[in-house]
Amino acid sequence: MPKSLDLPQTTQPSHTLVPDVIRIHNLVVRYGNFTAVNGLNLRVRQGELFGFLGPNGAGKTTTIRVLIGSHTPSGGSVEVTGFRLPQQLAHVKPLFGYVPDNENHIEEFTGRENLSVFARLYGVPSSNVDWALQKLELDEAADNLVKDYSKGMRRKLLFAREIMHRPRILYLDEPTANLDAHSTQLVRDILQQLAADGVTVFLTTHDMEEVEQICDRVAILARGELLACDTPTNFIREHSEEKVAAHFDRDGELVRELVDMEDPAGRARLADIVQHESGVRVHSQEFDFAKVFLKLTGQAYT
Amino acid sequence: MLGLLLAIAILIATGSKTMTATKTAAKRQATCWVVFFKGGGWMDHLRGHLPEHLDIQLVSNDEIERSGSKLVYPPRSCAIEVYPAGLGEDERHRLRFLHSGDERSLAPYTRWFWKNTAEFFSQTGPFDEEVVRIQRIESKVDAIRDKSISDVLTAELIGTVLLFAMQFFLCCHLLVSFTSQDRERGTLLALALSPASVAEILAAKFVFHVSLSVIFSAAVVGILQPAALAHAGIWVVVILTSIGFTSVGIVLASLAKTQSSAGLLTMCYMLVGGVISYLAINFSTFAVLQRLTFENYSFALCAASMKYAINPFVIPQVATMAVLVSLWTIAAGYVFHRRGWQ
Repeated sequence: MPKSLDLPQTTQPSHTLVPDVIRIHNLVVRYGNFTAVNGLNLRVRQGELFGFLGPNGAGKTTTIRVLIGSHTPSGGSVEVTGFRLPQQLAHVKPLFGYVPDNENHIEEFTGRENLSVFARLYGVPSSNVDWALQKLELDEAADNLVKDYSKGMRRKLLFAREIMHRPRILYLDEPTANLDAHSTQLVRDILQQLAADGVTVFLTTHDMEEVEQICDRVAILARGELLACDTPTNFIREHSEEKVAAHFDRDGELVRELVDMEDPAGRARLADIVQHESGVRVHSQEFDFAKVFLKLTGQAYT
Repeated sequence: MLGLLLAIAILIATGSKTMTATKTAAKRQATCWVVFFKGGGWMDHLRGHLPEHLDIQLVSNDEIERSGSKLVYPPRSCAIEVYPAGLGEDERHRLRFLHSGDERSLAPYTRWFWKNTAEFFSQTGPFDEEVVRIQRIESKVDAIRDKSISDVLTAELIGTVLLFAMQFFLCCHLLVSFTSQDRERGTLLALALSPASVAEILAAKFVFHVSLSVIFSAAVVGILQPAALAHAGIWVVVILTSIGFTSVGIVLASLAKTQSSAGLLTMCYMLVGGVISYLAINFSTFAVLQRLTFENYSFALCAASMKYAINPFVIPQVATMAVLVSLWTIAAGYVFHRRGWQ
């Protein structure tokens, strides 16, 4: 279990017992004749780290826009922490943080000043600014102008800004894009810590490793429709191939044979290979989320 | 840009006294045309007493250019036209005094004229205008040919243009530029997603731009016409104009999605304003269009403020302008709430 965040007590949210923090019912979003999201149903629980996957143009960003209240849906209903959107957006705004896919800092300000502006808007003490900067390892560069920051630093500053007020829900669009391996792991650790502390994390990503590593549940969207929504474990169970690859030498040539372990004949064939062939090496077929993703979304486009 | 506008204001302020003095001096040196329609002893006496320090041209009316029935004089000159007695049913000499706008410029010439006229008529008895049958007809600029640009561009007019331009720049142009830049960067969305409401963001924009405009407008007026600052009228006009331009800026910024399109929209707004003014001036049927623009009242009232001419008679104009500005403000609030922050 990740260690809890050492956030100043003054900003601890008063968690209410809401089992589903996000409820999307039959969401439809249209841009003219184009339907970006078509009848999406989704429920995300408190403290869940929820991965939202889909190819480009699948409707992920549109869904997030509806969730943050910047886009009015064409149909269906959306509730966040029990408040309907976009009608009750004012009640929801202090409760979430949104990390967009592009940096939107005030370039002429330093990192600390950028965070301080938003700290005042959220009414949180300056100690939260220092805490967020330290958490994202930006404390040394805090007093440099943002325009002098690298892409990775800007990304981390954006992340710091959105966790500074300790949101109950955190929406992230490609949170680890442009980050080096160390920073990627840092952000993933913080996301897991936040989720452990009861923050609902809703992220879109194209990084399948990230999905497998940190997400509690994953939804796959294509052409505005939900194709699948399950835990990574269930995805593995459902889509893993119960096959092994046997490699062996025959007449000086390397032969590869795929054996189905669910079939008794397959198991007998593997035993036969092991007994009678030379130089046998057996490899299990690892679960590949990217393959599953491509398989599911590919079906949606055929 | 602001520095440039303020620099122009200071230049006008420091230059205006010099300009006035130069103009007065120039007018003192200007030619005075004394035109007679019938010669005689009176005119001969005047010709015999022409002063050396004044440029007086004593000529017959045949020597002056005509435009229809009017005699036309060169720019910045003045004239004394002497019509003979017995012309028509009138048995009196008639005198017309013409100047190019500043009556004081005639003073040295009229002093010379009356002194020598009195001398001439005193030869036959005490001088009395009634007795010698002289009728004064005061006239002014109508006969003076093409006014020069320096006659038209008064310090007040330039000041009004500066004031108007400054308010447009600070409230409309700057707001459109800042807002569209914030939208392109995504800063506007970040602010709108914070607990600050859309109304609060809008109010902050109004407070910032209107305050900036009032401060700089006060600086311009303070430099050009310090006494005008004591009149409440100018503050009302400046605040209303600033709110109006800020509202226009918010509407334009809400409609434009990028900085380049925002610049284009601002240019279109200026062109539309220019076209409306042109049509209203040249075609009376379009005058109603001009009356529907707060900028029309704003410019006129700014000009009046610079001349301390804000009085109870302009209250209907101020009220109309306030109504038009309110409509723009409502439109700004609606458009910004609907799509301005996204």
